Amino acid sequence: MDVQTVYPRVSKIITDVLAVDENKIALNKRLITDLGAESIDFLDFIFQLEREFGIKTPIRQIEKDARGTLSDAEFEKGGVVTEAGMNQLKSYLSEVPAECFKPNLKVNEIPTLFTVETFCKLVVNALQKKNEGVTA
Amino acid sequence: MNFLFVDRIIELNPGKETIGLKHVTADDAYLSANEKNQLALMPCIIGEALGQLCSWNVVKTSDYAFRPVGGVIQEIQIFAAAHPGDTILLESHIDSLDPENKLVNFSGRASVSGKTLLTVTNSLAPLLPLDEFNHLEKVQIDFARLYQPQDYYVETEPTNYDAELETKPFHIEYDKILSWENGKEIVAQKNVSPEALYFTDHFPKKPVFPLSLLMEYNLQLAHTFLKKEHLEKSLRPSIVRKVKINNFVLPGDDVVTRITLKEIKDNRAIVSFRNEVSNKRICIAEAEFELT
Repeated sequence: MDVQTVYPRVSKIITDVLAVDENKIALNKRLITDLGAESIDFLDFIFQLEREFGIKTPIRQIEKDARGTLSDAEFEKGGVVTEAGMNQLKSYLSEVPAECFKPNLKVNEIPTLFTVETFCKLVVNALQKKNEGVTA
Repeated sequence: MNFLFVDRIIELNPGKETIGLKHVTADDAYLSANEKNQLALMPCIIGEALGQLCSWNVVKTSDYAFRPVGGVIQEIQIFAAAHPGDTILLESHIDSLDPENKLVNFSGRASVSGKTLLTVTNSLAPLLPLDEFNHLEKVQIDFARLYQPQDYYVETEPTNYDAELETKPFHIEYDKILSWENGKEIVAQKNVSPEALYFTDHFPKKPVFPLSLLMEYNLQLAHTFLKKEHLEKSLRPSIVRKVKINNFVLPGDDVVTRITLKEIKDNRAIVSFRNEVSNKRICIAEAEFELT
């Protein structure tokens, strides 16, 4: 499974959850700024992904994964993402255009960066983990 | 007018199942007219009772730290009505309780003598700090009063209810119609009066308009809208699904509701709801009516 394979099903879920036309959805669209998603939509969206793909994707998993090996203190200071944290974020969210990473980004603003592709990657990773678990 | 719909909790398995009772009495405040023009407990209030039952479990399991609030509901199926004299058995099952992500997912069933009245499937509710909404001591007193574990439950026969309405039922009326296109769409406005008595319980420290009443209002408005074109038919709401609440409706808010007819097929009408306050989305949902 790769991003292109899961995209049609992820796109269908986004259409359903956000009640937007399918032709407005593309891999590079950001859920909050481009498609008008709100926090409750993420909840709904994650739940639908879990049902559709039979995976467990805790809602904060993306933020956790994005921190990589950095400790909380290394990643953020006073709720603002540090320079090291920003580099880590850019690396993890490689699908997000560089200009979207504003200076002094707050931790609670990280979801504004998420694109449709971010969630496709989340699904691909979760499916990979699930398969590894089965074969282990 | 209290807004508490669990009369007894007879079983509570922390983080899992809860069983409770709700007696429907002739002086219940939230009795409405069903499709047979009989007094019946509003279906959304039965759903509210299931939500409150799950809420008691979460409150107790979290040692009074959190309470769930309305979020996303996949589906509510409405099968039958409950009338004065009926005792409703409420069963709620927590499918997952996730303290880290502050989220509960539950399902539930309400029945009278084994006959299912209503089911709730996959209700996802965020957990918020209890003391933002309720007075801790009052919640503890209420729980002690409600929790009366018992090993058995004697099922009562359903009431053979055939009386037609003699009193005015509870109706959540719109204030004005902003637009009405037959067979397509209706837009109506309602002001949520700060004087409404349900605000004393919902919630004591942070009054918000109950989602169950908002949904009942949507169903009643949809009924008015559909009835105009189907005068000769009896209309019964059978399913409410894809419910998503984004924000609270506060006392004094003007709620603008748009109801759109999506489809009429095989004697079923499907409508979508969208509630807004100050052009901001509050709630969306979809409902299905049976036309007979």
